[in-house]
Amino acid sequence: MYFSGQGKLFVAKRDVNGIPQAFRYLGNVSDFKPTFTTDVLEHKESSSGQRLPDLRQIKSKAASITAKLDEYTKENLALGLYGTAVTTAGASVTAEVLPSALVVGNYARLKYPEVSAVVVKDSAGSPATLTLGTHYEIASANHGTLKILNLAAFVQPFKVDYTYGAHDRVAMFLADPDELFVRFEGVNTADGNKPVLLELYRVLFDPLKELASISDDLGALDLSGSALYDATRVADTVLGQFGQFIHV
Amino acid sequence: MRIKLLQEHEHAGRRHAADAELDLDAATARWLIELGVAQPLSEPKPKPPKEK
Repeated sequence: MYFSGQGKLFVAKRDVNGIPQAFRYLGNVSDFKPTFTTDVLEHKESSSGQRLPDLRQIKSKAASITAKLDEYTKENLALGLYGTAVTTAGASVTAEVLPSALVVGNYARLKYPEVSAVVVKDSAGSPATLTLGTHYEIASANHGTLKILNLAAFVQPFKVDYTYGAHDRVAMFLADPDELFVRFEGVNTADGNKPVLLELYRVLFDPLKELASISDDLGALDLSGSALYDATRVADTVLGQFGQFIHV
Repeated sequence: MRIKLLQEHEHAGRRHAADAELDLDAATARWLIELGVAQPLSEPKPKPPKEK
């Protein structure tokens, strides 16, 4: 039977008994490969004069996976960045302090993106208001970036009032990674799209090695991880302790 | 000028929940009121002078 796979990849957190909870679809995955290795002790005989191998003893077995996630969703980013995905509703800010000693041509970053209704004041006793287009410009309202055009006699640091829009935020390395149950619901396109199912019971993903941010091609999240021995399935002769592949 | 927040707001790096009361300069307070983020709180009436 030939094999050429396509399908959907899901992950789920596990409860204390190793039972997968709600699964989450990872979106389009253009490459998914479990890999398997053994660490072998090889012995060579010492009597023939040719040092021929006469023993291979498996010292350990290991399984790992790689998956190329095509979709930069906040949940996938959180998975690869050991982060927490948060959706923040739009709100307002007053008196956000910009860095002191800004000079003409500098860019200043606001804490939130999607900004509007921007008002910039100085730090004089009776604060003066900077004029948009004369003293500063909004270099990118989407990113929340101001550019200083003219400092006049203003007293720094500047303070900014603004509103911001709803946005998704993934803070990096904010959470310990969960051990996940990985499930591939696939079809064998070389065999009339017959269904196949691959499950790995306990996978710990590594953080992303890179987060492709500028490229000529579509970016992807290259995940890799290790499949771990699932002690909740000790001596299960049907399901095994690592995972299974099923021809449906 | 004293205001009461109608929704969550961040002032000088500190987040305040709706219903919080803040003392702000008049221009900033008016800006928040015009945005619908806050409402003015009535100033306490000055106490009448004590009769001698």
